[in-house]
Amino acid sequence: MKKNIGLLIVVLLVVAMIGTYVKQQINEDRAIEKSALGKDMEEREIGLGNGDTPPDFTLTSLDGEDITLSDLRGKKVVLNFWATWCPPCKAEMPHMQSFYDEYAKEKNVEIVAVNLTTAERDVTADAKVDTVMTFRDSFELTFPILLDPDPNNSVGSDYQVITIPTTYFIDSNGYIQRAIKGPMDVDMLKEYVDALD
Amino acid sequence: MINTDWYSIRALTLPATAIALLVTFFMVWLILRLQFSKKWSEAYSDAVFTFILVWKFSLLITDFKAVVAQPISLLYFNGGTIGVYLGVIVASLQIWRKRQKRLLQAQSMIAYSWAIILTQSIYQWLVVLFNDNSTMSEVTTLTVLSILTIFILWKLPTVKQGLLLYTAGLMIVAFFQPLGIWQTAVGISLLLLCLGIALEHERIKEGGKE
Repeated sequence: MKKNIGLLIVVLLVVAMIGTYVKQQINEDRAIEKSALGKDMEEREIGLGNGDTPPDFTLTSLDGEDITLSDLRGKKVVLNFWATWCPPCKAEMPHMQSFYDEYAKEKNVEIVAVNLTTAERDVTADAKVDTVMTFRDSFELTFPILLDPDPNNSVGSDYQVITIPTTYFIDSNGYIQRAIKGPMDVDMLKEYVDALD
Repeated sequence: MINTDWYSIRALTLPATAIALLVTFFMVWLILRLQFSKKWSEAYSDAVFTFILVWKFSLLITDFKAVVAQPISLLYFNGGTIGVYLGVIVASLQIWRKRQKRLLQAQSMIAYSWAIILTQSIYQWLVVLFNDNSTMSEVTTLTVLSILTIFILWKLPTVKQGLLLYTAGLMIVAFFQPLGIWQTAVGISLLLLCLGIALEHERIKEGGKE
């Protein structure tokens, strides 16, 4: 008798898995039907979901250069939000840099790292910029780092960044393909960039 | 299967594949505990524990510089594919080293087959449920592995046949998956198959029954 307990559980598991899967598929179909109603594929919405056009912005980089997100269309974009005091961001930065060194040209991808400057923990605006500058130099980062200094009109809040790092993967047509919360290593970055159109 | 989802538990973000693996380990442990005597579920949890430790800390080998510069990397990252292989190899060596103690006991090889087959199948099922891949690859994975698993565990011919059949089935499934036949899961399955065959040979050599 005992022999059958394990097998019974396995069969139940299989039934449960397949049931869950079928239910998932039905829900997915319904969602697609709903979104297809009266919506032209050409007109994508501005939003943060997969397939949406991300909110556009123009920010100044540490080098004083203005960068507009929509100008980067035609390139794949890795849009990263971070702060200097955040341990996972620190862990992630060397990986971003080595990914940038190795693959940026080859895969036609740009890394745009938006520093949540308002969230930096220095008192004055200048001190905040200095902190970011020191951070960049210590990690020898060469991709553009944008400052997001205006608390009333912050890009970070447009993108609803609550946990950092948060990274959006934007394809060369300018649509969001994926958003990842948490640090990534080179392999993950490569995997997600390869999946972009 | 391509990992497409991430789960955040407080500050820690884990890929869906890692969550799937952890849940799998628990489920298989539970099934082994109910199906066989306690020592086999203990042997399983030993191996799992070794695997997790080696896999997690393999970052020390694959990216020593990053760990020295940012020790906290150990918390967020792991050794990736190399780490998975290292973990399985070390866990396999551990099982092999303790073979004398366990092999001649009845059920040893049946418990081994159950552990290997269930770990791989439940992992594959959960990865399908947790992620969003092409429907074709998902349906193939679910149906083929379900039928194969139940068939082998129910009517297990001999241990060797069962494991060979299973790995062959997994390779066919892998063929339909986005990562193709050269994915880690297939490599691991082959490693575990070799270990199983080696253990079975040892057992017969020591005087165990076919």
